[in-house]
Amino acid sequence: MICRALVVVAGLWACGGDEPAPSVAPAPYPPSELRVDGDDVAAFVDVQGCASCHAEQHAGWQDSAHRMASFSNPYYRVSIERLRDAVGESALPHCGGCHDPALLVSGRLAAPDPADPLAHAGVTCQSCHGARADSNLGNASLTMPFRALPTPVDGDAASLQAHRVAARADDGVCVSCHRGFMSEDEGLVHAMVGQEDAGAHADSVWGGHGDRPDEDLPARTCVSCHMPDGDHRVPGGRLGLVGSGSKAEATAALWRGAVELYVAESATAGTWDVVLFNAGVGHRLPGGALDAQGMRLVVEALDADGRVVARDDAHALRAEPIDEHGAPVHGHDVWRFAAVAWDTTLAPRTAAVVRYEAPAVEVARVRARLEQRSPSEELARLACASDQAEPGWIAGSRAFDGRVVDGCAPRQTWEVATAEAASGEALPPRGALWRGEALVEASARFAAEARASLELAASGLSDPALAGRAALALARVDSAQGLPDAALRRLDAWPSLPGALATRGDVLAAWSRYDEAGAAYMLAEVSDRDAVSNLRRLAMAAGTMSRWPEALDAADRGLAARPRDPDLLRVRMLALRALGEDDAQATVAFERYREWEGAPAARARCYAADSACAREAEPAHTHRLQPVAP
Amino acid sequence: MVSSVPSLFLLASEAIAAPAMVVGTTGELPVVTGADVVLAQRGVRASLAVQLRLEASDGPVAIVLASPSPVADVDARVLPSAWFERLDRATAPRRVDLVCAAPAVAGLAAPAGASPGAVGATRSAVITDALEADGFVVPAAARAVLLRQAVLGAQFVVIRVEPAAQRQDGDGWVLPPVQVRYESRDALLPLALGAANQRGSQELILHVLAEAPKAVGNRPSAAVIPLAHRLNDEGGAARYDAWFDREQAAQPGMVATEHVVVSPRDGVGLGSADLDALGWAWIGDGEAAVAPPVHTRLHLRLPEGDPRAALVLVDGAPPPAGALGPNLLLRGVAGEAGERCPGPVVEVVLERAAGAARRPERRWALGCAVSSSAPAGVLMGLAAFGLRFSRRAR
Repeated sequence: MICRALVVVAGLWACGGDEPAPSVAPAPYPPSELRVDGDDVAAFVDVQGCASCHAEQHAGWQDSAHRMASFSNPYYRVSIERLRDAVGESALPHCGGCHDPALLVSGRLAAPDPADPLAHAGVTCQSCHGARADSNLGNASLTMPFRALPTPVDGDAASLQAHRVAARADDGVCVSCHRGFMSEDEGLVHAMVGQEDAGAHADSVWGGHGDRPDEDLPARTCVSCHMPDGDHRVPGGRLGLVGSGSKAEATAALWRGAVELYVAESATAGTWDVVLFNAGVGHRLPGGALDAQGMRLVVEALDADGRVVARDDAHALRAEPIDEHGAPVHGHDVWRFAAVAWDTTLAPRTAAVVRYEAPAVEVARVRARLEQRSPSEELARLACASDQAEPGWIAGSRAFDGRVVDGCAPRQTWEVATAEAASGEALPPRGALWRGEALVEASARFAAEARASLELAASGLSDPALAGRAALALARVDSAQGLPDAALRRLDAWPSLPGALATRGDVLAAWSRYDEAGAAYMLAEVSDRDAVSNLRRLAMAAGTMSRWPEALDAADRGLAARPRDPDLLRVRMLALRALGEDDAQATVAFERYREWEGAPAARARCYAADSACAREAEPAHTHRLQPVAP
Repeated sequence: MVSSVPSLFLLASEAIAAPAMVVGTTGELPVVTGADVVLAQRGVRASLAVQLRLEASDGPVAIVLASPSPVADVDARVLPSAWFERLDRATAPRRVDLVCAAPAVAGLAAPAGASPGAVGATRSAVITDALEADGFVVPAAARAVLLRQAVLGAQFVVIRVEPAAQRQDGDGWVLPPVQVRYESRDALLPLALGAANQRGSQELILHVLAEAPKAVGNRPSAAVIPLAHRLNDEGGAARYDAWFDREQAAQPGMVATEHVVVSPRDGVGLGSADLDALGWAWIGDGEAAVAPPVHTRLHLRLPEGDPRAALVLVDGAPPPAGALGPNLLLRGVAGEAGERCPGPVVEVVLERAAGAARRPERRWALGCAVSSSAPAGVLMGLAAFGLRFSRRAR
């Protein structure tokens, strides 16, 4: 019932822009938002029919994670089977709506046969081509064509045009599945946001927004990054589904330069900073299912002879979901997710600092290596066990089209980025900028260190946009150190810089000057319309000033792009109440999507039980390099 | 399949978790004349305990606390009434023999006897409805303050205090201490909610428990203080009060550091029972085996019209060049020879003793040493660490 109410509520404002509101009929496969047009399952999975004309695209698709989205994929298979066993069949559409639409619509999702081709079809051509995004809710919020698309006839231009129109696909379709949401329908104690690559991208410079100045970077879409020149291999993720050699090369090319890595001694003696910057990934790094990733930092301290004297590889770039008792949940058991204990993934064009304390040995150099070995160890173990228990799935996949993913094959390790520095070697200006920015955003207690880094950066950066970025970060440092007027004067020197108005508003708000902050946020929103970050700030600023019509308008516009944003939902609810309007549905929506009230206590239990949990939750935390025996 | 949705209103959210608002059952808000506050910060968790002083009391009142993170009923509690009074007596400005290890503060164990009598703690996202449903009257000005905090994402805890639990203290009244725990990356004391109950100035005594000594990082103010040993004699407390009044008049919002225990250990500083009452283990979900915190006591007076931006507490360290110093250490440094503090202490200010022209100087303590006598021992000890000297900026 809650799922249905959500659809009704969502239909009122989550229409993806200027399109008319969709039908408010509930989705037929709850908790999935999937709808289908037609009932011809065979037509939906007829990839060979497409291949007759689109051989290259078909071959690429066979190499893609889309082909391996269904039960051929041992990591997915073990996850959905465990969900079925723990929660029951009613939860399966949550996965099947995107991963297995053919099985879902045919009613065979609960107990598929390894020999059934539908169980290996995955994300077929018509999952995207001919599909229509109904909303941006995610969880398969699209209508897929379960009917034959118009087939072109040689020499008939009109039929070719009709085929092109019918088979069109766009980024909205990507968002419909690459945005996930979980709730009590999947057995959770409270609703939780799942995969949110689309939102992270939209908020960034890659999506045409971003709330800070940046280098001259072109806006990119899902397709322009992951399907360059129509590449249906969809290179990008490395979840053990890399596929053929050419796919590996395409993936490696995509990753080249994606991450900047720096190493330098920190202000505290015996401690080194590793600075990571998400330079080229258009969503969080790593993206996708943040708990299932296997990206980690390997840091080594070397003596003057180049011998490794200390090492640590404990810092992972991923999220740590916990259950309601604070116990970490590994193996992607989504029904146990209650909260996130920590999240060390990086938003687009943002940085992080990880600190390393060297033991009492002579350290001449430190080198860092960011490597990926996905999926996570626990998920890989479960997948291997599943393959061994059910060998029919490998045979079934091979019979489908010869493609196989062996869940017991050793996970490949990919080097993402490396860096090395000697004792006394300073960061280059770019590295200093990322370090300073990361520190000031981590905590006010790093403000002094951040200032030193940013001033170093500002003196050496030649790109005016990055120099301006350093200035904005210094303004935040000024504010954190009790110098709001200095912060505002600094911002006065960069009036037209992207993000300057938003930063001005943040400084003013931090000092309770809400009226002035609101004015700054309004100007920021005008200069970058529809940026959700600006709309969120504007909604809250207008609310603090009791300008409720403006607050409601900003909230509604933000919710059109981000329908479950708790800040926007809260402002919407309060604005409707203040205006004397019916806020019942708004209150339901807010209460549903706000963070679970037990989350802080669950996190506290995780921190108390495991020092690593407590450490990873701290910004710019410190790892101890462990001595390596000679 | 998990990602977190970051809040982009981070700086503004510093103003969310306010010490408290007090609401009564008449149309007038009670006037809060002062607050004793204990802020405990460990990792990304914090607790806030507040004891409020009212100008007058007339019937039940509701104490409204706010938190920047979700709170459950188990995240709020009421503390024994006399607890803050004893903490205050034990840590009031006076001569302290050791900087690194304060004398034992005896007598802070929770008093035996009845519970404070406060009835009921509730939580509501729509706070004014909850208050009015319980018979309280929320005037328009207070409603606006609460609504503003709600817009910014505050979660509220309401604790009803019956008249029987309100203690008369001279001309005023004292409410039982209440405490809430929440998540916070920074040690900060937001002050916004308390504006509604302010008439005239408000005194704030802030005790901070953390893993390092704390200084207020965003209140640029400085003042010269007399050597602590002058407070130990008769009339010393009055002299301190006079000095504080004078400095406040010169620099409204000035923060004075009145007490720091840097190296607590058995018999020195707060005991485990005291720390438990203060919330040191409670914020870690009762985790027992934690190192005792550093205890800093700060004193400030908020004038009427103060912007009430949150106090941001940073580890005691020199502020950046060009800024006024955060606050001052009021103490002598005589003690056991050779003992060292584990980290930088907030700045130590001394009057220059020599010469007819007494000029204030500010010294940044890079560490601290104690010797067997003060003030000469002070100067020797400070010099041993290569202090920098600078004139106080005005």
